[in-house]
Amino acid sequence: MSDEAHGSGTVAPDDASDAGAEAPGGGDVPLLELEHVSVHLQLRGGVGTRGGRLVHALDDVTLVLAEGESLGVVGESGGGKTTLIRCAARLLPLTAGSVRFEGRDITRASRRALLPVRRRMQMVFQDPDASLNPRKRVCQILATPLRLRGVARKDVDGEIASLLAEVGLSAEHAQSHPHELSGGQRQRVGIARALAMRPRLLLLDEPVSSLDVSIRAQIVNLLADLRRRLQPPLAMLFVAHDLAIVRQVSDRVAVMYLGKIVEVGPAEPLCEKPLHPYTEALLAAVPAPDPSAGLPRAMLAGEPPSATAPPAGCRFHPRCPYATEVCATVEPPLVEYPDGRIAACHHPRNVSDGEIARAEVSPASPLSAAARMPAAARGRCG
Amino acid sequence: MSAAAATPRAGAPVPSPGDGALLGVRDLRVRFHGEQGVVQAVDGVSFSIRPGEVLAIVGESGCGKSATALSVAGLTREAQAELSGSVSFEGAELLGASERRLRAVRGAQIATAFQDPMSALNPVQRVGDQIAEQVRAHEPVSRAQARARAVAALRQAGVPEPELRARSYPHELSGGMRQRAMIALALSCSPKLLIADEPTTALDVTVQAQIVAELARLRERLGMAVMLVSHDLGVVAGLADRVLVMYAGQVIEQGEAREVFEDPQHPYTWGLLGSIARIDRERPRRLPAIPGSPPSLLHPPAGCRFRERCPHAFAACVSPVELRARTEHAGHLDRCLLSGEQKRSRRVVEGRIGL
Repeated sequence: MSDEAHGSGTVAPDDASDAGAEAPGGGDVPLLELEHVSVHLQLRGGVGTRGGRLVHALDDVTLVLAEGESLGVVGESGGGKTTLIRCAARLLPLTAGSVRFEGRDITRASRRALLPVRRRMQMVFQDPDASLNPRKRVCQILATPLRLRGVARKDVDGEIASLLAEVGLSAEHAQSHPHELSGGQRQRVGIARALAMRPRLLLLDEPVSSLDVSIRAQIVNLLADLRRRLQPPLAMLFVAHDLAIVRQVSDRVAVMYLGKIVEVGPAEPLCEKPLHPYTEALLAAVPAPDPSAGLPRAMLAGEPPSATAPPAGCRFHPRCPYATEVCATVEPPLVEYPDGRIAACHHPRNVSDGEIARAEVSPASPLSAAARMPAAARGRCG
Repeated sequence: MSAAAATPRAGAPVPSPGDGALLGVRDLRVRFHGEQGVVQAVDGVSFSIRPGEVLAIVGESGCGKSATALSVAGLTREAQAELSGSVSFEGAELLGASERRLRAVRGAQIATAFQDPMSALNPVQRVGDQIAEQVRAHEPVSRAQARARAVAALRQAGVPEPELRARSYPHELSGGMRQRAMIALALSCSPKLLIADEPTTALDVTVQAQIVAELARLRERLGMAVMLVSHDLGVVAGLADRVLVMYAGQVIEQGEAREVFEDPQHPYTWGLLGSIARIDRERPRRLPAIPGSPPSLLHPPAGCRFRERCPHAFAACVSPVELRARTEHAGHLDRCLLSGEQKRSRRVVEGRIGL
């Protein structure tokens, strides 16, 4: 990768870098590192309002993505998932913290310096209608990134055909306009366009939320196939509000609530034995296609409070069924348990007293959090 | 083109409408005349809903589920739409009914709630006023009484601080709250039938769980029947008494919810079930989902319409397949020619139902 990462230069990875969790394939430089990243956005005042309120879109988030890893980010609307993706692509200025890609600090890199970086991280958006130019044919949509990559004019057609095959479209779709395709086919074009740059990281922002279940499953399968097929393996940061979908596509999952990470862990244990009550609530909300299972449990009343005035202490405490006094006043640190799972909760679920005794505050913990460890296990264990 | 009068076709397989059905739909056909030709959106759909019953209509985009629901509500009366068959509500025919008669039924006895509340709510009118307006359109009550009814309806739909919210404009509410406001609007005249078209599709899972729970609670308390339209069998599982699976304008399977979920007969239903990422099961390498996309309704394929996407299709599938009972349950109908044994063995993929 050629680069002129300006204003920062290469920064030697320091201790706090792999805080998010043990990245598989340790030893190498992680692909993407977010360190204590905060994004506070100034709201514009509307007509007749005073405006100027600060939205804490992202608050002291530390996450690491290893080469070829798939990390799912899950949470409700307004949790900061999209902001996180935009930070990773440096589409937003950071209020605090740093972003490194392939070991290089890009926190303050100029647009020019970001060009080669962005080629290696490509985005797929929720709404393919809004992200594909309606006046261009699929072949034109795909040719632009191919030329940017330096593919010779005579080779472009062949590359387009193989890209379309890669995402499960036929060669004749090259001549279609986006409106002639179904929603699922359009999303495939969106993925093909991202792949055209041969990225090492795909940033997927709710890529299946607006699709039918049947089409959603096809896209999820396509992403899994791509990860198996592509060499070197493609890393993914996959954002969604549905934990069942996130689990299907992710090696690890990060759960976000109101701009903070509340739990990180390998996908399977996180869904089987969630530590954080919020994770538990997200799991309970997933409907099962089984009439005898009854209704999904709506454990959470209402919606997340406004990020302009996040609650003190644990941000989840006003909606948490297990909250106690301490939750309202003391911000829980991200605690790392012996099996590598990480959660920020004073009363974690599914851990034993022994595990709590051996737990430590994670280096990914927000700087503002207290050092207070959970006192005793609460939830059922095992 | 006006709606043709009720002309149920003889020989069409019609499930027994049952005595005392609240809604009876017989051989409903909806055709839209477009630039490229005639689209047969609904092709001979028959079903009934009993008072207090929840019927789910499930299928992919473009399968005709919304067109069916909208036709029942009398909302497909554009010039380019051509309707035939029969839709009877409490014994009275709605398909050829006058606009005036429809208006009396719609809102008061048949209410609708849609996927996108922003397109159903008036953006420049306070939420409470919209509900009050509907109440006054159907019942001789004073302004103050109507306003009180609006607040009560909002409270009933689970809107916190309903007095305050009644004075809000739709844009001031969150997505989940807007959905509740629309449900409140739908429920304000105590309808006997609520038509909910993808009521949770645009929502977060957490809010979706709340709305589904709310619908279940309201149905329990008010005893209203619900026609629930969705692309997601997972969402309807906890609510539906009966399920109708539609594909390319036709019903391809219908029956009691338990039978359709536990003993699904049609490969398309298997695929819809397989498409759901299940949190309560082990994670499969791939979801056993449906390949390809639905056929164009301009030229629906002959024979079984699902044939081209079905890995189990065989020679006989090229001729039309009738919707009829093929299991020991008389009310469980499907359009698949595979034998019961073939179905039982072929629908299991990696320990779960899939395609």
